[in-house]
Amino acid sequence: MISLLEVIAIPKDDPIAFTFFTGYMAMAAASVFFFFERGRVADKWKLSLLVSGLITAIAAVHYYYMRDYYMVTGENPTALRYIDWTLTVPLMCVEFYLLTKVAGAKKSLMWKLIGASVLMLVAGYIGEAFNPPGGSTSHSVMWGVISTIGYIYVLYTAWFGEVAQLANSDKSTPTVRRGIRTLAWFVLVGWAIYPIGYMCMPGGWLNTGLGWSSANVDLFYNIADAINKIGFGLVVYAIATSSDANSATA
Amino acid sequence: MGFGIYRNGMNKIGFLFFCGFFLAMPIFTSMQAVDMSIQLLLCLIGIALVGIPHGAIDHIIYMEERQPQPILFYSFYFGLMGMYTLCWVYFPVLSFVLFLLLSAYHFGESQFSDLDLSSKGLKWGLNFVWGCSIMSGLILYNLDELIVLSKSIPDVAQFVIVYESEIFIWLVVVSSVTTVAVLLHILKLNQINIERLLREFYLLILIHFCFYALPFMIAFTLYFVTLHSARVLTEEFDYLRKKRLNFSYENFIKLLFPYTLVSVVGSAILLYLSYVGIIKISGVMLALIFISTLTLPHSFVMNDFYRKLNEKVV
Repeated sequence: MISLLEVIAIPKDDPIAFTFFTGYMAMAAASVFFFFERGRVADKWKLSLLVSGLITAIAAVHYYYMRDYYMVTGENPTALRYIDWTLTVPLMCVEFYLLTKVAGAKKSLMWKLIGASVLMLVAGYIGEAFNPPGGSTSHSVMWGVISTIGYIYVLYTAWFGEVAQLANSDKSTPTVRRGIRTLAWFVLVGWAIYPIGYMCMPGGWLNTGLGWSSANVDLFYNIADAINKIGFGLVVYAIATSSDANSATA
Repeated sequence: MGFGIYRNGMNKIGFLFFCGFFLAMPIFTSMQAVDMSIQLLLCLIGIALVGIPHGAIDHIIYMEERQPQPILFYSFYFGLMGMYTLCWVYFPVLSFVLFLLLSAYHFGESQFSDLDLSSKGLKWGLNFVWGCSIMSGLILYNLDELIVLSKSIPDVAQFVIVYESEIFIWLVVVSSVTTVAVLLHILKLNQINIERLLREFYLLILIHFCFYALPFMIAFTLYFVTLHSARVLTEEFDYLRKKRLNFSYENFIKLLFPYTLVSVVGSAILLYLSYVGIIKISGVMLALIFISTLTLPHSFVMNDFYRKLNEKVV
């Protein structure tokens, strides 16, 4: 009880703490929603809903720890953040595979997307966690560029590559097509928030170049997480509950 | 096929800009002040390879369908260039402002080339306010750099009066808000869908952020090469492919090459003559005059080209 009271004492002028708490509750609520709603959709979409629920549940657990870490230390919970992403971002790529499976997606697509997302995360982690004290711009630039290459691959695949082609094929359905396009928008807009956060870390180029504060890192990451993880799940849910998706052949 | 210009979501041209932006951001902003000679070199490469070719075949594009007497077309084209050059000699500041306004409209026109709105006034207005939004943003975010650069070159220093007029902050706000309002109005008229609206909003924000975060020359070149020139080249290629049998990318490059080469060599000779002092005008001023005098007839040709394209779509 004492620890709970300590934890909820959020400073009024600390938007980062606010977003940590909001993010935690939003992820937890979304998980409950996806797990319960899983029972209402057709069998072929159950796995997709399960993955959506897992993404938000894993994030909720990590947010639980991250908010405490932040409140106690006032520092960026970099390791916890990347552990969360290492599990959830590849799962988002799995969603692309599961949704396009009805149109004939092969497992190689899933592994390619997972590979690109791992490159994106590992490079991002090295760039952020092994940044020398005070921040090194050359270090963050190099690993940031490598990470961006992984991101660009996922983006290209979602908009023009295999995922887009499968979604637009005759075997797909209008709902899946629309859903994939919406997820592609998430990758284009929602995922683009992460590089902005990365650029705000000590030595990051939004700090050195434009004088932004490194406190913004977690603010950008928390906002992006809430938009992307819950948003991704809701798009999958919309596809699974639409009528033409349920009538299409698996 | 082509580059999918007419998609409502992101097209490959937008993708190129997006990738260029996210890769250029860490590199150039981390370098703090990028040496002007490096900026110029990178810009010249991009402009020579993509920027110049997009306007190099104006005569072919115009004459492909209209088939006027070549002498009439060339008289019109070079006549406009000559008149604008005279304007530069007698009214340099006015010519400079005219160039900015003309560029704003021209950029907006290529951005919305596929939109065939029922109201021509609305289309004209959208082209203009969108272009004003990005052009005024480019100047506002780089005002200090532009003033320092202008003051360091005697014949360009007269343009400082334009930069110091404090109009740009108002222009950015008014033109951006108007652009958003016009786009929303067009959405209400059902002439674009929500996805296209979101794309335009997102792109406008990205362009502004690009102009804000990157060094002036790099930011403008990234925009000019990808979102403007590459887009126009794609449209020209798609058009010629419909008009000519078995027209391939190879044919297109062969068509562009000689005219591009002439333009690049001509520009290089002019700059060299300025550098060695035979032409008593600074390289920057000469480039401004040269680009603006080409932009004027090019804008007329492109205006006619887009009208033809939209007539065909209808």
